[in-house]
This record gives sequence, C-alpha cells and structure tokens, in this order.
Amino acid sequence: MSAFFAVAIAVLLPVQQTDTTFAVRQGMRLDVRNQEGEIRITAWQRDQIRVTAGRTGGGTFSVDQSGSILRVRPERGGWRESTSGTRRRFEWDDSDPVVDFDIMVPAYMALSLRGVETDIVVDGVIAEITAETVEGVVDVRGGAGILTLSSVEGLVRVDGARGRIEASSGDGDVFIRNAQGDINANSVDGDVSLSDIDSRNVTVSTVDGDLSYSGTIYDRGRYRLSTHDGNVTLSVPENVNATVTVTSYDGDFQTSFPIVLRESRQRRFSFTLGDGSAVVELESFDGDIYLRRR
Amino acid sequence: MTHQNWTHQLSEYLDGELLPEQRAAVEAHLAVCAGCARTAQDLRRVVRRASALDDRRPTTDLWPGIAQRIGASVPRPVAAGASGVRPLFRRRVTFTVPQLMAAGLAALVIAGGGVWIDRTASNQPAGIVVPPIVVNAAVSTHYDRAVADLAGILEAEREHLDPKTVQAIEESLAVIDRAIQQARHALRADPESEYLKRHLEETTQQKLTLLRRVTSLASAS
Repeated sequence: MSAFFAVAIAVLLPVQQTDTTFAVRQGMRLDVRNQEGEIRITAWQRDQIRVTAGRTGGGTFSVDQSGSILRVRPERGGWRESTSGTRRRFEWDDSDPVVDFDIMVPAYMALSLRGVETDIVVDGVIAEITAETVEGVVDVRGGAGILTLSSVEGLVRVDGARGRIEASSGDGDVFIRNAQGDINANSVDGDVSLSDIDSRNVTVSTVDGDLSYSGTIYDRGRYRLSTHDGNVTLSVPENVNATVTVTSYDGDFQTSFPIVLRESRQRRFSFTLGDGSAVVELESFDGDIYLRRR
Repeated sequence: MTHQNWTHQLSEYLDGELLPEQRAAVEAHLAVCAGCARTAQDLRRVVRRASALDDRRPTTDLWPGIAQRIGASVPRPVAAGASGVRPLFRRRVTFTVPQLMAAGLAALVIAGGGVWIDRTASNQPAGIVVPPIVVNAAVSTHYDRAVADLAGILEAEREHLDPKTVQAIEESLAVIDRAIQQARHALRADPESEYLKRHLEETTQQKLTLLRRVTSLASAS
C-alpha cells in the first residue's frame, strides 16, 4: 500500500503544473500574492482568466472569489522526496513554495499584486494596477488609472501608462517612459529617469542617485526634481513657459537657455522662461543641475 | 455630478468602502479632474500622517475604578504590550472631507508649533499653493519615535525576509542616515536655510516611507 502511495506521489513530483481557466466580468479585480517566484500577467482578448503555475517544492495554490475580488494564493505544504540510504521517503514540506504564476487576464482587469522575493511583470493591462514587492523587479507595460508600483530592492520600470503613476524603489532605479498623467517617482539608492512624459504634475526624488526628466512642461503645471547626492537633468521644449527655481548646496548649474536671474539667495536662484506660468523646482544637495533644450 | 458630490465620496474611496462601480466612477473622474485628484492626494497624505501616529495608552488606567462603579464584568480590550498581544482595536481613520482637511490643518499647526517658512510668494505664480514647511524639535522627535517603532517591527519581521534583502534594506537605510547627517550638519552651519530645513524633513520622511513599506510587505507575507 505504501509503495502505491510512493509511486502516486512520485508521479506528481518534482514540478507540479496547475492550469485553470474561469470566466470574469468587468469591474472585477484580481488579487495575487506570492512569497517567492514570479507573478507574470499578460492581457488577452477574452473575458476569462487563465492561471498557470509552475513551482518547485511542494504546495498548491488556491483561487477564490469574494464579491468582485478574485484572490490567487500559493498554499504551503507538499510532499517532498528524500533519500535515506537506499530507501526513498516522502516528507511533508511546510516551507514557502517557489511559485511562478503565469496569468492571462482581460485588459480591463484591475490588479493587486504583492510579493516578497518576487518579480512582477505586467503586459498590456489597461486598468488600475498595484504591484509591490520586497525583492524583485516590477515591470509594467500599460496600465491606466491609479498605478502604485514599488520594489524595496529592485528595478521599477513603467512604459506606456496613463493615469496617476506612483513608482518607487528603495535600492534600485526607476524608469518611466511614454507616460501620461500625474507622476510621483522616487528611489532611495538609485536613479530616477522619466522620458517622453506628458504630464502637468511631476514629483521626482532620490537620496543617492541622478534624476532626469524629458517631456512636456504645461502652463500652470508643476514639476519638482530633488536629489541629495546626484545630478539633475531637465530637458524641455524651446518655447516653455516656466518659473524655474534652482537650489544646489554644493554643485553647479548649467543651461542652454539664455536666462536672466529674477532672484538669487544663498545657493538658490530663480529665473523665468516665457511667461513663467509653470513652476519648476530643481534641487540637489550635492550634485550638478542641468537645464537643456529638448 | 458636482465637484462637491465627488469630493464627498473621496473618504470612502480612500478607505476602500465603495462598490466596484462607484470606485471605478471615482477613479475615472480623478483621472480627468486635476482639482479632485489633488484633493485626493492631499487626503491620502493626511491619512498617511494620521496612520503614523502612535496608539498611546493613557498614563493613568481609569478602567478598574469605572468597572467597579458600574459593576462591569465584560473583559476590557487587550492593549498591545510587552507580551506582544495585538490590540483588539486598531485605529481606523475615517473622516469626511471637511474633517480631514481640518485635521490636516490642525496637524500641521500642532506639529509645527513654530516654524512657517516663507516661500517668498513673489516667486510663485498665482493659483499654486506651496505647502508649509515644518521643522522643529517636536517634529524631529515624532519622526525619531516613528522610525524607532518601525525599525522594531522590521527587526521582528526580519526572519520572513531573505538575508540579502535585509542587507539591502539596511544599506538603503544607511544611505538615508548619511544624507540626514549631512543635511543636519549643513543646517547647523546655515540654520536659516529654507532649502536645508525642507531637505532634512523630506529625507527623514523618505526613511519613514521606506520602513513603512518594508514592514507592511513583510508583515503581510
């Protein structure tokens, strides 16, 4: 009898594959958590979600629905084979499984994705996205509405988002490109780079790293770039209307615009470009500041 | 729907209490209305600040006397203490928009207690509101206490994190600490600098934000 179970369990090892597909409707939100592994979300043209999970180690994952929220969770526990002398044994392993979720969703599906040692990749979703991990990359192509993306240790990359974007990394760079809407991006120990941006409200900061912004400067818009130890580079159109304030405790300022200083205090000065409508603040405690024509 | 109607829904929206269709409607409006989006952002900031406040127990425990007088036999709520028991009641921040705005204003006034930095209005184009900058000993103490609390939580949760991750977090915190030290040093040499005051506050805030994010994710794992 025990030999039968041994054979049956051995068939399921070493890598289990689970595949489930179910129907969804607009207004639902997918909530996925993972301890270790990957969460990969890809949009497709169906009103269905398909969850595929490859994993090493034991355990299963569960999918359950509560109201409009669909929850996908890895579950602890699984049989693991061990060898003692010439005997094969199967032991219950209660450690966190390493799960690679590969999930197909309709493009309208809002997402809440959280992991610990987890990479999070989202491609093609046009809806609200929250993606947070402790250690791993957060890589989002698309997204609309409110986007909250963060990694404590890892790169955060956003491409083609529309809405309100909050992107942050503790120990890693933040890259945002081809985005539209309000942006708040920051890092602690890393660079923050924004390119091809269409926004009226931008706040970018880091403690130890360089900052760069290339994009629109709207009349009456607000743009603030601040770093402690690094350079700040702002690339803007020739015909910009902005009041620019530059502050550097220990650094230089260079610009390709002809400027007349409007006010100058200790380590801080301001000047006007065009009618001065937008507010642009550029700060570096220990670094240089560059204002360039785009 | 008027702006007032939208803003009246923001509190419930931030508390996650709206139905999916209401939530979607609010988000759709926020995406196109800069005014409401700014209000929502301000409210989030207030809620975040309020959430950072400590759950303080009263210095004098009045419950035994009250219980004796009313003959109460129901057990009283267990507060978090040295035993590590989680409190039964957690602070839940739910206000109306006017209350939140008033609370935010009051928090700034109380916490500041002192320094309102003149942002030289002549530099700012009309219609753009620059938030007040508050840096004084009370705020510094508040930050220090919050940082210590979160560092304690992180220490308790570190077993849930990969040692490499813990190392990276500690390195990030060290980067912020160095920046704080440099800003403080510069501020001692130039105590009137508006920039340095704000820079110090923002850098300290970044440490709080990082700690909060890490502890939140580690605790949820």
